[in-house]
Amino acid sequence: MTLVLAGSLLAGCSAKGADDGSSRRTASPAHTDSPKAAAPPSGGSSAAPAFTPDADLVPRTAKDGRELADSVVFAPRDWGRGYVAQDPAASAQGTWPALDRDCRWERQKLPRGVLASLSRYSRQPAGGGKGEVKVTAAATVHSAALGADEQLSTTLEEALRCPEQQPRSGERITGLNSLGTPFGAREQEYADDSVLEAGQYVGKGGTAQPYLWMVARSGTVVVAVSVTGGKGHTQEELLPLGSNALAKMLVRVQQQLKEK
Amino acid sequence: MEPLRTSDPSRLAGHRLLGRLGAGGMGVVYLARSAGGALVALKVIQAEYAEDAGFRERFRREAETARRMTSPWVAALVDADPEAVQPWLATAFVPGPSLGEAVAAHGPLPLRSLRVLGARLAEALRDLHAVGLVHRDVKPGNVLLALDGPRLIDFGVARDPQDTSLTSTGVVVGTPGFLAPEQARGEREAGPAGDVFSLGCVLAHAAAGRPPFGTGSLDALLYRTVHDAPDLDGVPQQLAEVVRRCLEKDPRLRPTAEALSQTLAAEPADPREILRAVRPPAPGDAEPGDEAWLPEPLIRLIAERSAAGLTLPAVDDTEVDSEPSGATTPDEPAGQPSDRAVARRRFLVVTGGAVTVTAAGGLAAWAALGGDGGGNGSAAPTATGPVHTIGLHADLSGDHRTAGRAQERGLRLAVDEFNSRAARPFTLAVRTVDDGGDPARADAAAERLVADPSVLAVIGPTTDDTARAALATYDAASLPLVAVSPGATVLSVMGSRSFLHARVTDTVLPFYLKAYLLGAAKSRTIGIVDDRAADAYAWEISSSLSRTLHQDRQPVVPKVVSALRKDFGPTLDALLDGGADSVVFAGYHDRAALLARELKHRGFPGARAAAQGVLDDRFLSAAGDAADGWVIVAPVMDASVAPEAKAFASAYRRRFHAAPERYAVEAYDVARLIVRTLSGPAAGRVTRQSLTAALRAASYQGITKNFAFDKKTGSLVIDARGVYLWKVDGGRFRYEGAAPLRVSG
Repeated sequence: MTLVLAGSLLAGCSAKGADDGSSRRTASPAHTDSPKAAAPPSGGSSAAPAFTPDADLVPRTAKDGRELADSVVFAPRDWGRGYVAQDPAASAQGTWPALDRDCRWERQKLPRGVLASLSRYSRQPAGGGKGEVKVTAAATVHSAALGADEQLSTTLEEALRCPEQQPRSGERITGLNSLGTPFGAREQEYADDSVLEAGQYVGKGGTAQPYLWMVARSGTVVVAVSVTGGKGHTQEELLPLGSNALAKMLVRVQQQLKEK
Repeated sequence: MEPLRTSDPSRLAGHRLLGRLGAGGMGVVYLARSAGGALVALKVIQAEYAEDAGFRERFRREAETARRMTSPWVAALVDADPEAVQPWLATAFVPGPSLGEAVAAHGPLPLRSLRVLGARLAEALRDLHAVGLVHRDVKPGNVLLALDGPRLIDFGVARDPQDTSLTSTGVVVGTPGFLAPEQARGEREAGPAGDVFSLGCVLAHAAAGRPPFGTGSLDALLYRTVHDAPDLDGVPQQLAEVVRRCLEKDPRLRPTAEALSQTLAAEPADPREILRAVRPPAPGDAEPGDEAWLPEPLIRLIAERSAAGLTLPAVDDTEVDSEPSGATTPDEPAGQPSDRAVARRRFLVVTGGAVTVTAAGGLAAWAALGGDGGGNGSAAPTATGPVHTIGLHADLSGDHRTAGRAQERGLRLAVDEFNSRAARPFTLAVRTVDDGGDPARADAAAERLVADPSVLAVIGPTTDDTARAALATYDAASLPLVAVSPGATVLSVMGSRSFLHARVTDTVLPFYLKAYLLGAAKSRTIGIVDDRAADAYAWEISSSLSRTLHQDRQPVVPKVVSALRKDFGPTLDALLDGGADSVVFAGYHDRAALLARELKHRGFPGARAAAQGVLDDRFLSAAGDAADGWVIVAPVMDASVAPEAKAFASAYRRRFHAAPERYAVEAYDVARLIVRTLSGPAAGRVTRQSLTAALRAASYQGITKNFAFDKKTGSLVIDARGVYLWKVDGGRFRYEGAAPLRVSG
């Protein structure tokens, strides 16, 4: 499972590289360059980061953070043909998701150290005999790498604490399996850290659907993607959808922050 | 030896080529049979060198000199043709093993062997230097062991001087680690004093089991050779001073080979030692026994190689009869299969005994001939059957060297015990490879064992990461790999067909942790600290523990700590906030010490527990008295006190003069399992593949646990045995015996 993910993430990074130009901010012509920074030489236990950003470009204020998140997070059209926005289409500014003591997800005010967080919700309506696919893309910009790293630790901790989670009332995520993979471990060479969670999403109707949650960190920025597939969608089919989106968002972060 | 390639000729200059012994920049070295019937090492120079008139002239001069030189400890020059289109030279074939192989397989040589080795190699160099030759590449691989003493091979003839010095492009082609500093610096053409320096390195290596300037990258080696004092730890003090003088940086301060040979020969103060060390080899002297210059396992290894050499000419039976059977080569060393023996075997071929002799090969053939050769002292070892090798793939020099070396000792003890039996179907040897705990080196280490056809099974590697890195290589060669210390579950789900996991995985340990905490420690709410610095190891423990507690509807407070975090203060705040009254640390010893100190600082009254990642003396030293009371659950027995291991411990103390270290008895158990399986009904026809299947099907009651495996995955069948408790008490790990799997009291 993890190898599959790492493989497809790498493929996502190196195959086409740049996104298709839909980024909101086209800061430089280097925008569509192939992201070499994402593929350092293999070295196993190397402590070197996957990517070293230009310190002057790393967001320091909430405004910088919001701009970066806005330019990175996948909008419906970035996911491909047929994707449309859910309602609501995005998270409320100044909030982020948190799992409470009773394992219910809620939006909370951004804590100190978090500059900005944005989630966009898209879906591909049912059609061609297959059920609806729901996707989320998110980016959270921290003021320090430690804070960003702890966001991934928290993600893993949530899986230990709440093997069953409640995204909204009447909905459940069950059977969660999680694995964190830092840079250099198990051929992971595209991000400073990453987490993959796979489980089942049980909606109000009671049918279970495959559910994936993928997170990656580059410096102070954490990008994440969730994919929930309806009838007729297998986990194997949803994995590349999620990992390609995550990889492209990571590339966008690195293009925005690399030395010009 | 490698088979001939299709591009190789089958005959060359009147020699029949039998196989390839090696290849280098200058050409290829073949094993060949001379027209006279002797086995020789035939070095054939590439034509491009031959075009250089200067080279040909030097070759001719050196070959003539070498022909005049007769030293019993140098593989003699049998013939040479400097005028041929492809110039060649033939030296007497010594079947080996090399000193390098011997040390890798059997560890450092004892003092008596070292003296004989040193004295005879010094004599060899003295004889070379006396006629004006310089070897230029004295190293363990160029010293072959025979029953009566060492043989120096590949002496300076026909070697490009550039081979062993720093070339203009800054590349060293020779053998760094055994080069003199003046050679390493490329300052001058190597002189006799360079050979003496190299001999010092060879002796230090044979005495300590590792080269005196270490191993590793070329730059570091050369730097250390030029600037650092040699590391002579492990060299017996009686030899250390002599070796140190050989290793003087200034060539003028080193003894000459002549002086060295006298010093080493005169060294022993005990008259009996003198007798043993310098008595000239006599016919019949090669019997493994009191007079043998090498330890018994090495004598066996030599005998086996010699016997293998004996069977070689059988590959071309058609020629057998046409050879003049009485031909001998005067220079042939005593330790080699004599021509008479070869001729005798040919006779057997012709008369129809051939099939059995050839098929049995190895020592059986040798033993069969020994009776015939009797009078002329053909060395007939008492061993019966072939030599099988058990490999040890371990971290012997890195972060986990303590565990790696303990496994080596456990294995060696089991092998020695087996070899000491008079009636045994085969003889066992050990071959070790060291990956330094570095996953990037693990694969190359595995390749070395895979390439040795006598290796039928491997114990190791030492860590999760090195095991993971090497797994595919062993799998591809169907070489059984039995892991004693790694605990990662992923190892048995990677689909390897030759892997056996000889311990429970890390995901099983939490059941024992739970039993201890809820039982003896009376905890009600278990707190878990998962340290991401310990990556997958931590996650196996934390996720398995929290899952089983959730299933039991037991309260649990998990915390996952970023690898970037240096203090555990906020983590503890959150744990206490959540009501945890005990802590399980899922991580390694170094950061466990940080947590231990923080817990102590706060006066935390609850139980503290961890798995084998904290069972490390460095935890004790880093945590100080904050370590007291920590309980470790680990698949490791303390064989120095466990009643079940009493016999093992006393044998271990006799053999190594030390109490058994952690993981020694676990490796011993596995070695015994392998030995027992090898001795099974199919003993005569064991292959790596059949051994894998037999091991996976085996059931064996060891000292530490019961061994039985899943036939598909090689994972250990779990029963209650094999996991033990340790408790830190007064600054040391105190063994508490078998860990209970059920909550008691």
